[in-house]
Amino acid sequence: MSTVKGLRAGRIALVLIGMTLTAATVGAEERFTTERPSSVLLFPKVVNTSETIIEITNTTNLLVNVHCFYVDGQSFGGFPIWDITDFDLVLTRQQPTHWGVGTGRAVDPTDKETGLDPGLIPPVVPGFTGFLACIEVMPSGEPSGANSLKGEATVGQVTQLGDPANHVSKYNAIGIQACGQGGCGGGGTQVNADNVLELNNVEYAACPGGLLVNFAAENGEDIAIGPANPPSVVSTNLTLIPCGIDFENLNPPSTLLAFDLRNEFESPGSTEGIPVDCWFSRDLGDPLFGNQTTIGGLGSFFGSGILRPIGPSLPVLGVANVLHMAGDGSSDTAATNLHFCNEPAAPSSCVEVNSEIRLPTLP
Amino acid sequence: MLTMKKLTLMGAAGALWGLSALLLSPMAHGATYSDAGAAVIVYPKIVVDTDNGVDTVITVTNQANAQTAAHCFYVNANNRCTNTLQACGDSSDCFDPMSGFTGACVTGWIEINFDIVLTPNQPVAFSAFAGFGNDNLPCPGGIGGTNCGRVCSAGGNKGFPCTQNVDCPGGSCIFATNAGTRVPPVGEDPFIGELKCIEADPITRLPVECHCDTDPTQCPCPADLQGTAIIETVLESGVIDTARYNAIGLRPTTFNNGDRELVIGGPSPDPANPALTCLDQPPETRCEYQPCASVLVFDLLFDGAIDPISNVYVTQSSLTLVPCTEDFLRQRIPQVTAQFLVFNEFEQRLSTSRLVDCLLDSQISLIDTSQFNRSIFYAPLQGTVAGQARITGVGGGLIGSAELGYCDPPAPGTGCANAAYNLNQFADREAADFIRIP
Amino acid sequence: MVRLNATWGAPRGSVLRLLAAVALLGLASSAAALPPIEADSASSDLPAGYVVFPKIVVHTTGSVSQPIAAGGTVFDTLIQLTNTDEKNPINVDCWWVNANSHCGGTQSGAICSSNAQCPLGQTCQPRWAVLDFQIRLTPGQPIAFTAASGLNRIPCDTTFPGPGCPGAPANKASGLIRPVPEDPFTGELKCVEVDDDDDPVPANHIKGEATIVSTIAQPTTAPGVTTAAAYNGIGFQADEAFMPTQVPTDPLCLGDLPPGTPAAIHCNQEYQPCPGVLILNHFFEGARTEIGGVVNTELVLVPCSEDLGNPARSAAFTVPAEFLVYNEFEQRLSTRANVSCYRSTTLADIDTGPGPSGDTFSVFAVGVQGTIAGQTRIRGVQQAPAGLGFGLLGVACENYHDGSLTGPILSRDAFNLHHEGFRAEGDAVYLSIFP
Repeated sequence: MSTVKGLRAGRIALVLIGMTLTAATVGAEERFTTERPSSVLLFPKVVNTSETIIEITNTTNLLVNVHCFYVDGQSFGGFPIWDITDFDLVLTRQQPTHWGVGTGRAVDPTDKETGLDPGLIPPVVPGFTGFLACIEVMPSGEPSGANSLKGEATVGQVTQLGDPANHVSKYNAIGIQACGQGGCGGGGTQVNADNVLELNNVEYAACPGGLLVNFAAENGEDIAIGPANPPSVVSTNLTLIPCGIDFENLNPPSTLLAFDLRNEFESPGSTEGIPVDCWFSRDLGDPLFGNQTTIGGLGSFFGSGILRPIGPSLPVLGVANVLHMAGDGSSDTAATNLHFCNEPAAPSSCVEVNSEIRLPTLP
Repeated sequence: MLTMKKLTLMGAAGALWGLSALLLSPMAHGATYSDAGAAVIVYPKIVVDTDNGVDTVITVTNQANAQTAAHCFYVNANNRCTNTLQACGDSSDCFDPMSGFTGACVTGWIEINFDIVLTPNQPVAFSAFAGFGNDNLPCPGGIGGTNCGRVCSAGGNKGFPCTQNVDCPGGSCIFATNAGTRVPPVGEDPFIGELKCIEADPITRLPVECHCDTDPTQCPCPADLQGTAIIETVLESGVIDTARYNAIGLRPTTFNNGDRELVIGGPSPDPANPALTCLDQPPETRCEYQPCASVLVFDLLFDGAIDPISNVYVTQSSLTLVPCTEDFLRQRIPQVTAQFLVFNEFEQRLSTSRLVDCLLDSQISLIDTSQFNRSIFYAPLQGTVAGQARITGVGGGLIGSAELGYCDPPAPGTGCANAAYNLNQFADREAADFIRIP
Repeated sequence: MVRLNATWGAPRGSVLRLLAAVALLGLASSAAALPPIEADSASSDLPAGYVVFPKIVVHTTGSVSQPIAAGGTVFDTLIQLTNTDEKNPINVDCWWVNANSHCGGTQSGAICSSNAQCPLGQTCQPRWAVLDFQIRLTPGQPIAFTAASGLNRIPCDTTFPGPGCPGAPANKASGLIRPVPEDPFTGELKCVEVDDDDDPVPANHIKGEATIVSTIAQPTTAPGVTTAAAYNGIGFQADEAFMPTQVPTDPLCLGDLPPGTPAAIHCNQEYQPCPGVLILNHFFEGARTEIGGVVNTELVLVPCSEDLGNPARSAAFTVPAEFLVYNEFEQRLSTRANVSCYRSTTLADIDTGPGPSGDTFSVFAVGVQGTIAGQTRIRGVQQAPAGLGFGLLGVACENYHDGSLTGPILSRDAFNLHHEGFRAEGDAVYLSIFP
């Protein structure tokens, strides 16, 4: 015979056991990551000018709900249009899934997309350029901090032999780990039920204070192609998004950056006041970088720099996509995740910044 | 009460202690010698290739004024085809037209041993190709062997020079003889290998027992052998090119139990106590020979460098390494990893390693790669003419020699004039090495 | 029978005992399962003290033994390294690990990638050789070099000055980056931050990327194809509070010393442990995606543990790798393969043997799995203690073919594998013992 007392005590015990076991699985240094399962995935570069395939996997043995947001990063007249489309996914244990952003994915077991359809995924508009954010949630829509998700994005297209537009690059989604009890250096707590994901090393990891960028001098020779197929050219595109999003009030995030760089001879350079409004995608030859990253301005073939927010601005997250073009006109792109700068002391001065991701209020 | 005898013994003991400490202290230099008499002499590179006019003249000298003997081992390190077991240079030599298969050319190891008996102060020389035997012994002894001096046949002065029988209590004064010497030709032509000679009792073929620490009359333990190797190349034009190096010697300590295991160096029983050495180990592990070097220092000219004097000739060097440890008893092929630390004239450092599988004889720019132009020993890559390579053995000590060649351009390896030289050394190995003889 | 409206207040003893038991259970499980704060394993997005580039590929027109002719595909790998310490110079010790296979297994044998390239009777056997170089980077300095050419002068060394270079000799750059020892070359690059005496230091200032580039050697009328695939070096952060032993024979510990390590060996420097599981998201072999073409994936796996000072030991050391493969139906298949020193394989060749024969029957084949995308979880299987750990590191490359998997490759991309957990058993990297 069971009593309510017993049942209640048993429920409390189960909750405690669950909390304890959950707490026991964290304790490592939760942070922004590009290779560990997380609760929030950010895909900075999602384009439908070619194609982008998104892959997301549930790395746990539990059912996971995911709430995703496409954010259109285009601007008109200098103002970001900040068009948002959201959708939900359900991933069973260990389930990988994928979709092309240009085609989306229907819930139709008879279509050519075999596998358990994770949910109705709308296609983006033709010419879409922006980013994708996916947040792990409870079935009720509240944020969940189970750190279950990993993802990759494959950008580009291939058609036929000899087509100069044959470009494919791939990067890992940027993950934001939930701290969990005692995580994020010891001060972490469980994710609460409100719609604000606090990126503050309490609920979720805080934003890294900067990004480290290794780059080749813009429009310089590609020494890897070298004498085999001259003349070669290399160009780097940086795609950046602010670390902090407000889906509730639809305020497009914006920030101002400084780019402190050095060339191989340690000659320093700096560009201040690079604006990132919602979504930023420019080549290093863009005038915003002040000609300091070009082969003529850099003074060597390679350089390195730190992208850092100015003052109280938000830091950014991003990927670099490098175009390698050979003398016969063929080319390809290669994407890499940017390293996080974690040195708070000067001159790096990469101090973590608290921010938030605000989800739409649940009805 | 102190007596002269006691004082003499004390003095001898003190001198002995001092000698031991000097011989076994962690010296800044290694303890193999190429310029002094030794109890074991090693010739790392013996080469025969009569098709190309190559042979090696080996000299062995007895530095003592008494008869002695050397128990020697040729190690045939020719590579062999896995399918035909024939000697080979590379796998292309291993094609068998009968089967159509090509075997792999892998390291081989064949050992033969022989004895050399030397009269007082006697040098002998022989060619590796021809050997040395009854027909050409300098001191054949017996009735016809009157061309050499006389030595005592037995007794306390056995082996020492004499003029008449009264000089030999317990024995008689006979003509000195090399009888018992039989140096076979090397087993193959072509041949690449090493020669190790151990000063030994001619009857037992084992090292002579020596307990200098307890019986000062036995001091010092025998270290009478010295040797050189002269690699001769007779070119088609009739020009003879020679490259000569000294055999590397292992000098004895004050102890030798005369068994089949020659203990070379080794740790002290208590490294924290500087007064203790490997001589303080139990008899079965007590060192009988001074240790091999911890580091071989190889001063070199990088391959492909233009000779700064002639500005014409191009340098090409080769290096030969053999392990200090050798197990002739169990016929186990010794393997030591040689680590190379290479400095150029800009003090830039590169390193590599290579397995010494019985014997490593290689052009230096082929040590770390199969493509010489990518080697760390290649001058255009290093950017300087000269370099220093410091070589350490992992898993055992190493002994080696080198050759420097000046070659006609454009391609190194054609028409070279060679000179061999010994490697320098640094520090003693802390771990023991062994030579186990059958 | 269930009684409603019971009160919480009485009796509490049993409940308290239950809660106490739960609390004890929690403490016990926490103590057992809660990793130390530094147990976060290797990462590719932070500067580190020990960085591994698992895939380095070279095959150029300048090869002495197998030069690429005009119209053929040349490969080279661009490596970018940066000293992220903006105030101090650092020394970096790097090792090329040459994993080339040779016919007959001897250095003099031709470089090969399959038995078919060797004379009849010889097999294509891997060798394992290690070659090191050392450089000094000025504060904040980036450098880049190709594996085929190396770099014979580091910017800001005494022979290569520049306007921003430090004036003090102690801060100048120095060193020589040797090119890979053979062309063609397959292998990896490992770099450790060290002090002036070549001892590893408790610091984390190295970041790096590798880009594998291929193009068609000119002049030719063949259609142009250039591919580029980039990945981040995998970094192990050093424990900055650890006091190095500075004993050359002591290894770098990735986590703890692995079982079987002799008692006299201690950690020269401690680093983050190797990941417990590698997670590879991929398209199944032969899939046709929205990108176009037909895709397959090449996976490179290398052991976490190495003995760079004794290559023979590493060559004889094998890590069994277990692969759990999930498709989009959540169905799971598994397979195993051995990783000895270096393993580069297409996914389909893991369970079917080298070459295209049988690939359509692989557990990684799209026809077998029935879905486009998959998740493969890879881990090294612990064996009997050997003094070297059984961790694995890896990187993946996708190839997009024209028409079918035997068609020409139109584009490539590379990406780092995800990590989960960490290896509690520990791994070790023994460096060369410099005389």
